[in-house]
Amino acid sequence: MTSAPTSDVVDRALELMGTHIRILVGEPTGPAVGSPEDAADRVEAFLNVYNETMSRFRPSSELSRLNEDEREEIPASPLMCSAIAAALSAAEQSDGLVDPTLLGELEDAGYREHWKAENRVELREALADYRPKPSPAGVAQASRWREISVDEAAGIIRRPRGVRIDTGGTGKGHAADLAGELLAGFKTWAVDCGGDVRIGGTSGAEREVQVLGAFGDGQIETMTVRGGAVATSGLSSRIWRNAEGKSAHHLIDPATGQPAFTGLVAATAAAPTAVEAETLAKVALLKGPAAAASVLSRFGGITVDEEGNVERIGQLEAAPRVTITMPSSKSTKGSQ
Amino acid sequence: MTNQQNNQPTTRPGKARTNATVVPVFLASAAIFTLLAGLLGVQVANGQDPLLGAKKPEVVQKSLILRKVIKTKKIVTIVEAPSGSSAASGSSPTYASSGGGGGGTSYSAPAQTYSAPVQSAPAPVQTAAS
Repeated sequence: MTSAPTSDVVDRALELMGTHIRILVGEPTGPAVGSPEDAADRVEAFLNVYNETMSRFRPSSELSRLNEDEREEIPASPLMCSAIAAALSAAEQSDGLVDPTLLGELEDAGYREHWKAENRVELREALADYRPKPSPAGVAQASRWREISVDEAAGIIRRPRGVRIDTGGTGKGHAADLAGELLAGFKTWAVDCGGDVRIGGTSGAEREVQVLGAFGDGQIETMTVRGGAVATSGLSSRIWRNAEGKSAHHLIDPATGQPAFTGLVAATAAAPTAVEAETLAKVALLKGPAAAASVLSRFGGITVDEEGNVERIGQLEAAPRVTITMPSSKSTKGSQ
Repeated sequence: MTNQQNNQPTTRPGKARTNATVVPVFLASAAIFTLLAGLLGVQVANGQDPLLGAKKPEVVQKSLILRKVIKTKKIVTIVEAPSGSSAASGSSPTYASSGGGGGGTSYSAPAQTYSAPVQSAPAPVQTAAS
């Protein structure tokens, strides 16, 4: 298969962190930077370390050991400290909607082990079978995340005994952001960690980001990004039937501890970093159609509701210098 | 009553005097109007329309020296090896313009070729719920 020439020298795809990863590296700015191939190797090695450190499914991972630790003050690696700090930052920015302490609730919903593709139910089918009355998600009364603190200088994480942590989607964004730092000397680069895409490069060249629909309907929008991040949060990739035969998914409403059905099935957000984009996307989805526009208006974004209606929000041209081009679509309606 | 009847004839000479002075006054007014209109016409014809105000002094245009700077740019296009998935397949691509072989992942400065620039953009990426 032939493809149009691109400025990327390396375009590498791999499966890691329970999702697809893509690393794209363009030309180096000079010989001192090293080759794109070596840089991609470094990024891949880093992402492997990240996965080994932060996977909740690996009993030997640092995160699993931390969650099992009886102590309230736990020594932690710089990577662990950084990841937990990012998760707490997301919780702070979202006033607790993106809560890293919902691991128990997630397991109760049925997500206890590595995601198996065969468990996935088609979104439309799942919604037809079980669609509770949509309502915005709320903040957990307990707000356990407020009891977690990170001392990055000392390498210590403090949390009440028994509070378990899962960085979830924030971890993917965090990994993409850190991986991007390894590619600082290249003219173009992008790191996609399961839909959390960090884009950069010294050339400032525009890169197309294709937003895929939640109902398996292919590309629904196209963003053009020079630098920054785009992330999507949605139900469709990990939705299953629980023991009662009801549809469940991995986006938990902190207030109820149950999978959130807010009326939206996907939200895509642009932001300067992948952690911020992931946070905004998840907050928009959890708050539902009525509040999503205000959440995404700063940097721009896209929402898809349960009926498949696509809404574009904002100008998409803030700090990360994002612009959006819209294909003509009957189901698309503009919003500010 | 008698006095009124006697006074009536005294008004006739006055009216005669008025008729006698109308023609010269009219002629004088017409002459002055014609003179003023003529002067105004001349002024307007000279580009000094009083409605537009006084004529602005002519701006003396300074001579502008244009220096034409010609820059010659050489467009250097680095011919890349075709991009593709590499590590996953275990192949060992090279980053160089010369084709063939492979043999290691070492980076060497590619040979420079001078040709029309290739319009290449970063490859698109996708975002979806994961």
